[in-house]
Amino acid sequence: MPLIGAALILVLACVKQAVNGSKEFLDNASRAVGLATCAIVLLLGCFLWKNFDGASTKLQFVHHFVWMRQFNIEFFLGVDGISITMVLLTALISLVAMVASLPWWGKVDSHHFSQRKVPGYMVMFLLLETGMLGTFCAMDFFMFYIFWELMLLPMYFLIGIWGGPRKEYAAIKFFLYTLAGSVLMLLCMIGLYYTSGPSVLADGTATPHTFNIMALSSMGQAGLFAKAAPILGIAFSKIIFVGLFIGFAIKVPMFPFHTWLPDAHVEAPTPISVILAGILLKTGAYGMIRFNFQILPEAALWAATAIGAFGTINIVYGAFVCLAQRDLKKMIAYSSISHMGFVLLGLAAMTPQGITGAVFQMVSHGLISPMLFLIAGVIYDRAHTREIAGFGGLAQNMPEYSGITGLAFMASLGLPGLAGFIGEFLVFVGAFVQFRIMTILSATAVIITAAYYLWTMQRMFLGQLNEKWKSLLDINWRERFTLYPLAAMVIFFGFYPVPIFDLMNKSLHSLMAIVRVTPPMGS
Amino acid sequence: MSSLHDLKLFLPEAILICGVLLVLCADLFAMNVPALRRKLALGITLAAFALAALALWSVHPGAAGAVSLFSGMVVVDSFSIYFKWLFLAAGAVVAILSYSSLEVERPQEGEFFALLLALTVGMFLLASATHCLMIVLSIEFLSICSYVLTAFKRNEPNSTEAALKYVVYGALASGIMLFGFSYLYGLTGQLDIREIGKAMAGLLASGGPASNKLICSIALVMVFAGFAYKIAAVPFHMWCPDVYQGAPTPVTALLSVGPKAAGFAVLIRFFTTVVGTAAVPWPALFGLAAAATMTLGNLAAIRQQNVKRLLAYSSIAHAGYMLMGLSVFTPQGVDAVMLYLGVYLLMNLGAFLVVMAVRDSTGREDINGYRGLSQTRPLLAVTMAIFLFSLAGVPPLGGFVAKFYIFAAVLQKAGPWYDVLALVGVINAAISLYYYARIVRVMFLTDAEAGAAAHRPVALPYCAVMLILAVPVLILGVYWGPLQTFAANSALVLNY
Repeated sequence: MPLIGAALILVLACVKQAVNGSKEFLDNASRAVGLATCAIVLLLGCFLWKNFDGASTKLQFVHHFVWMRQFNIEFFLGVDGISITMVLLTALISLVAMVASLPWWGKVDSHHFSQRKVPGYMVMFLLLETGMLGTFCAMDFFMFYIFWELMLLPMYFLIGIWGGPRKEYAAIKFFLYTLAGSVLMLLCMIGLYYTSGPSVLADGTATPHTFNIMALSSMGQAGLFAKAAPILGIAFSKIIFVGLFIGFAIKVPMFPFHTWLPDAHVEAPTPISVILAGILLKTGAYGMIRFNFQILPEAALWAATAIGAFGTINIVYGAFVCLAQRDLKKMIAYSSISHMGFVLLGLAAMTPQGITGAVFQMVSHGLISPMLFLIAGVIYDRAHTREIAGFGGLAQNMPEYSGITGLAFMASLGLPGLAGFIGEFLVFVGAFVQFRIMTILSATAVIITAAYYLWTMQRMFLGQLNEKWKSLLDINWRERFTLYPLAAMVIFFGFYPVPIFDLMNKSLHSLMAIVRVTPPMGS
Repeated sequence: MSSLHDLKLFLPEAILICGVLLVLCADLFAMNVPALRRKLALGITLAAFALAALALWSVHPGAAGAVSLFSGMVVVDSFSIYFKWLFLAAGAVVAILSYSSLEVERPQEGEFFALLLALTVGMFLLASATHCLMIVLSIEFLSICSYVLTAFKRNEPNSTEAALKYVVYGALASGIMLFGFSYLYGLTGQLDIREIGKAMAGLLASGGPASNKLICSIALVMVFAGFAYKIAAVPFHMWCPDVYQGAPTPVTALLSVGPKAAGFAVLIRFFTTVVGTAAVPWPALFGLAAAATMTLGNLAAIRQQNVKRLLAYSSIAHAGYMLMGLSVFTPQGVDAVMLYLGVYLLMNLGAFLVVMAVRDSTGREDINGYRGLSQTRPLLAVTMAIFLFSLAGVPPLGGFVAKFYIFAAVLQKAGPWYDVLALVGVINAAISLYYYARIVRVMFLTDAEAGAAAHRPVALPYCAVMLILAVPVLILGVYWGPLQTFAANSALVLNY
């Protein structure tokens, strides 16, 4: 695992070194370096996958040593079933986004974002990938926090420098929202640290407190935090739970904290929207699983209904807002909010199907929403507008594009046989036993989802061809490179999701056992 | 103990004082060789700093951990030595910057460097003072040097006005502090702060009249006012924005780190020595001051258009964070503040250094002067971004680690009041990001104004020092062990 990080850092250094070269050469060199890095990361990821033992619930590929003895902070990386799924997804989506950031294999305008300040873009991109991979692999809370924040700065610049017309507003909004969430998380982290019991560092030194997530989890499951002294009259674990949850919910984003997302998504350049939707949103959900559910299981039970309710609001509200959107990218952004609601609902149900469904939904949304954003990028690159109503009859001169868009829309609305269906179905099955009304409400929202996607299809691709768009070209090779692999995977996992289940099931089931066995609070 | 032996431990200060005299004399002799004057003054100043560092390296407080000099006036202990290293670092950096800066008037460099050295002596004395008289004297010495340095741009009304405000506020604050000391003397009959501490403990413990506690509290609050003025804590912060804006930028850079650190040094020493925490509700008082300081500093900074003024408010906010760390009165809190001061020194000096470089190159101090800096001066823009994000406390930069320790110390001392305080602290940290990001935004996200490329190039020493400051800020973000250990060991001599 650290191999990947180290490779990235090395490459970053190389890119910086190369700053002295000529503009043209330098741009292409840094592009090549970026592409190669992403490809290597994906290869390494696949290598991990091959060697991963799906039958074990333990951490694998562990790198563990003491980092800062003064505060018992360790350098602790490792993957279990949940994180390896996310790591693979990250590696894949990063590569796709990287390909989408290259002006090769297809014509782009001279003022296209991929032509501006290329070395800086590549450095930020790779830093971002480091942050994401680290977030999924870190098993020390302090390290996790560092990596979590490491995602912020590059994202701020990526949106702010290479974004659309309202980029500055979107970038600072994204930054402030997430930072506000993460400083709350920081307090909770310190609170947990000082409440945690004695532990042992990697080299055998005994310590009074620990940041080790595994140790914290076993303490939490033993009920240590449930019994801790209350803060301001409220139970310790509830306060910590809420603090952490808000931090993660902003990233997901959950209903009242979602307003940064449409802005950030719309203004970000296409590859960055792809990464935002494909991976960044998943870090929030991953954090909930890893911290809220593993470390504070009894508080998770206490909050389950509320989380379910928020999930439902996300699903229904997101779907309705989508109906009203005129901008294609904004509609896709809101559909992300709607789909992340399924993750929340599934997690809140805490049944085997629910949680499996939630994580699978994370994966399938991680495959489908990048497709959608790429699709929005394709049309924007050509027409320089994303006004849905302004198009019409595009199927006549862009048949291939229409076909792939149709596939992505269908996958996103949960057509059986495509990946989106499996996650949603599992979530519904899992959630129904726990929250009947919410599940029914959410299921009706699927109809709305179908409605807005089909309506968009109809307005963009069917009907009379708008004279203005007669000269639009069909998709080029760069776009094929990015869209077809994702499409293939969406179809493949729609029919045969077993590989993903194999990866994560053991870990998820052990997680579920934790949550279910713990007696509810107050009893 | 003979005063000859005392002098041996007083060597760093003595060297600096010799430096002051030498600079003045040399300047006199070099009067007719204008080309040489500036070089000579800088050379002697740096030599004095280097020798003082050498002397400081050789000074060991001995087995007892602390040696009192000159019949209890000052003490040499690891606590003061830590601060002296900070002062030396700040002084040396500022000396190099002043040499290149256009804001230091040409014919007066001799005076300037002499004052710089004298200011450093003042900070040295303040950090090790253990006697009320010595505290007053060194604060006054420090202040007077600061006033003159602030007014050093004699042709600019801003500078003079700032100095005048500084004098008026300073005089008021010292007056209040002196008044407080007089009460303390009246109560205890002592001026040595260790003796005062013992006498106070007796006064408050022996079940004497209830008024004792009240008078003690009033006296101590008055003393606190004097120190709060030095660290620019609310409500004694009013001078700060004007002075920081009006003073020559190298001086501002020094004022924002040196005297502030010295103020914290004497604050920590005085209150840990004199006050038993149980007697007076210090946590509440310090906590309130801290909350007010950081909130006001951050909120006021949001609307600023002048970068120096903005950084002035930001430095007020940082004083608030540090006061928050101090308000817990635990060893962890003091360690955290000392670590914070070390990191703060690097990042704040760095930020002012960029301000200086931009000003020398474009003549602008307002935020719009930074438009498109990433295109015209990439190095300045990138290092400024590092310093600003570090000030905002974004990992993985040094500023985050420092803030982390402060919050950890506050939360470790569990209790409703501390939880609320920590919450106020993190909300402030989020607010502060907004105005730091404003500068980053104009540097990176907007295009340069026309004709920006025609400005003067940035002086080489600026670039060098900038990197020297930026690299540790980056490294401290991932490996802060040595500095933290140093700070913690230095604070061991304080017993409370």
